[in-house]
Amino acid sequence: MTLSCEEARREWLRVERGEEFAGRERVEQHVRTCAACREARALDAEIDGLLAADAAPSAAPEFSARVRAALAGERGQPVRPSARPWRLVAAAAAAVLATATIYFARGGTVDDEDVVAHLDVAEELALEHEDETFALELGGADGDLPLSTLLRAARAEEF
Amino acid sequence: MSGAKPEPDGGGSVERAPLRSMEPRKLDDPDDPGAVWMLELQRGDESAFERILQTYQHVVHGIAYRYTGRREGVEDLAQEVFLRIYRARTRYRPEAKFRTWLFRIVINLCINETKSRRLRRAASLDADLSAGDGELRLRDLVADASTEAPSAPVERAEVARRLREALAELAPNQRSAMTLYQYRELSLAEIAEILGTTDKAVKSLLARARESLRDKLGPYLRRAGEPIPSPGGRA
Repeated sequence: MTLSCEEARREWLRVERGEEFAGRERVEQHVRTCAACREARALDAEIDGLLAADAAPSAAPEFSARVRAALAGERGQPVRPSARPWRLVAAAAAAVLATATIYFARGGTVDDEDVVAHLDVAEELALEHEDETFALELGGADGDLPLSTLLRAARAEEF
Repeated sequence: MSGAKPEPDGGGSVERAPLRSMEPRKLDDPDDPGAVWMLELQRGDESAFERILQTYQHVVHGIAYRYTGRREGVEDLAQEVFLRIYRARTRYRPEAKFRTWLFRIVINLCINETKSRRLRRAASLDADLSAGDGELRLRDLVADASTEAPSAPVERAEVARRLREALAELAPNQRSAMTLYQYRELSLAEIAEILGTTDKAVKSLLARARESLRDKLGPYLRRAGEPIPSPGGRA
């Protein structure tokens, strides 16, 4: 079976790369005897030569210092709070609300100081993270129990 | 160059350029030091990053230049490559050769940069055109330079310029393949791995890219009076 020029030119890339493969002989034979492929190869070689002659710039001596400076700049940026602290805030707030619910349901049998202490913690956490969407986070943080579940649990405990 | 056989003599009449002087450096190392350094960096050894920088900075600059065809912006691109490597240190898994991973980052950044640069330029040209002569069309401005009649003799520098233009007109995947193919120690299989495709697809990309370059540059490369063969011709 004879090779088409298209096939020969594709496979010639493997020859150029020094690959040994079945059919290599046929590819070489085709290129030796096909004037069009010889011509194409000659042009390819000339183009490769032009590409090679166009020397790529080397890294400047100060390049690695520049990269390190950029990295240092990144490290120096204020770290954006991750979502994880909000889980703590949400859990604390839920605990406060659950305590408050129990407190009111029992007509004030839970120690007032406990409720105030929980509220203080929640307020402190909220202020620390300056989050305006604090309330929205309560039931939405991944892995945390939703507020409604906590409230249900509180009611079950109550009755 | 590693593992490449001398080119068999095809009997072509055109004098060949010294391909063996091609710039790309020897990168082959059976122990894949880049992967070792990445793992050291992962464990907190910052000096490993310095070794990565020192070893790969030149080749990263080279690929960025060869892909974009511009000297300006190469250093910014290269810097972004190394910043990404550093940022990815905790997620790094040595599943492929380090340089395969590295070159993939470089090529992806080059493609993105070229795309956004082209968009910026097109937007700016559009703005200029809508503000100016209504008869002028964008397509007239970006018409294929290869359609112009070559003036003889064309200087080598001019041919080099046209080569850069022709490379810039290649589809991004052809251009990526051509860029990597210039690094002779990269096998077709490794180029395929970097580009996330098959060896067969890489051969097609390269063959089409070369055909396109021959079509566009042939008139400037051939000696006067010699016919340009049809790239799709048969024996």
